Amino acid sequence: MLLPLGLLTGSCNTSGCTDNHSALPLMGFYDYATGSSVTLDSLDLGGVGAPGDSLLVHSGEKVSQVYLPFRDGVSSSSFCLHYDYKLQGLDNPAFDDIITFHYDAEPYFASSECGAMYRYVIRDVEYTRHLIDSIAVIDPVVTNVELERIQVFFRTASTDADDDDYPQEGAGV
Amino acid sequence: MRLSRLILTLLCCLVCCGMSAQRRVTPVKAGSKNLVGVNENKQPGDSIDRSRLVSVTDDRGNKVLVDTVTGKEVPDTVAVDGVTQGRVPKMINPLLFSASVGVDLWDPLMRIFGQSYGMVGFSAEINLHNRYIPVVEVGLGNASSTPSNQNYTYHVGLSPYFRIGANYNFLYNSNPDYQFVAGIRYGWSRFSYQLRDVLITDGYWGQQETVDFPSQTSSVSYINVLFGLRVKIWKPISMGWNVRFRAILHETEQPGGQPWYIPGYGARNGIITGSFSVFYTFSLGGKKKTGPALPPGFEIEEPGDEVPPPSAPAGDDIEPVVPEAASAEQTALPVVKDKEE
Repeated sequence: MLLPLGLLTGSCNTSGCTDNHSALPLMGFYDYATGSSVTLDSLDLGGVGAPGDSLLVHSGEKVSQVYLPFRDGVSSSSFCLHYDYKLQGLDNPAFDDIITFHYDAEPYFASSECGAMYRYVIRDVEYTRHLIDSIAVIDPVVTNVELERIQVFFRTASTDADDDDYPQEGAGV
Repeated sequence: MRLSRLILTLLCCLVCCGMSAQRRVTPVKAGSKNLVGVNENKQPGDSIDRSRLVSVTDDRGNKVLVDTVTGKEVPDTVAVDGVTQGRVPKMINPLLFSASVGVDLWDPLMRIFGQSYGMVGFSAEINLHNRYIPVVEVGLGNASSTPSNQNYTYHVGLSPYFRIGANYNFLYNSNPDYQFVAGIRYGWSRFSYQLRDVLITDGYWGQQETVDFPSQTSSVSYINVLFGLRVKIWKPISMGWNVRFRAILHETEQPGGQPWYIPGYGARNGIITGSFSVFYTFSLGGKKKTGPALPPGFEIEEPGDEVPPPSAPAGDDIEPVVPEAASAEQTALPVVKDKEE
């Protein structure tokens, strides 16, 4: 007698996690002049201080978006962007850009299926402006929901002709 | 001449014989004076001799028929100008029909089969007319769940919950041993929950730690719409099954994530749940109404001092009872006679 009700109850359960099992900010690349998405194929991107200097993106990969895992236990995480464009003369550490996120990590229970994790509230963003023009944070609260919350606007070759060649540093959210 | 007289005499005899042999039928309205129908199933009080009745109006405006011989009073059930009209009662059971207490065994049984949350619930209800059933439910709930392939243990300490609502019994004029009900509940619970033993693994940064998240307190109100059956199984004991459709009406905003298990509501894993309860029913002693509705102030008398019923006819020498006021010709049944007497 209980079995039909049990089956009925079980049949209405929502199974599986449709979002991520951890809070990962998703960063997208854009052309600052046109605002359109760009794909980079010679970019090395990794966390500053990551074990073994491991990279999140290797040169040769075509990327237009990348997940940036924030470091737990500290209030900021930095990421280095190295442009491996030898023909354009950008293969120089002097043109590397560093992005630093300052954030608060908060305990967060997403759901029974997606689990428990830290979510992050971005307080500030610092970055160099060698090839980065600006950075926009669309939503400072980073949860496990897949959403591009960070947008990086690059000075690309076609739009970079009139700009000076001296890198600058900038900051902002 | 003699011959013609003889022929005429013979013709008359033939005509007379022919007429006397023809079947004779008694007209319908001319009934017999000797045979009278008798209702062998007649019970005391089934019929009233209207010739002895006088109609009076009591102090409440009800028309009352008084038997001038016995002094017995009966309401005039055919009166059309007052409350004494004869009609089928809408509810045959009294207002305070019964009361029940029950225990919800759904969660204890489910825990035997591996459910990791829920405790027990109790209910109290009053059955009005066997139709409207206000219900109060209280209970306790807790949870300690570590889902497989997950990185946490969800913990809720023993917390109370409260529900209030009512059932409507569709079988209100049927056997009260069976109920088919639809109901609604408003539930509320305030409780604390905590994520324990949360394993945080960051493969990129090479970090792994196990932490307990801070406890959070939440207040949740919700609604249940239910359909259920109840069956008497032994004397005052009955069992009931419910299917409940549920929805959260309000809950405390929690930046750290909404609770997964809510005492009384259950786990947040769907809109349908169930309950299985055992009830003990107290009869409140009301009398079941079996006849037409009586006006206020009237009661159904017990047939103790009634005139005894007439004995069934045992032989030909028993005279049938003929009403005094009516003439025998008016009440006699039409019969068919084969021969003239």
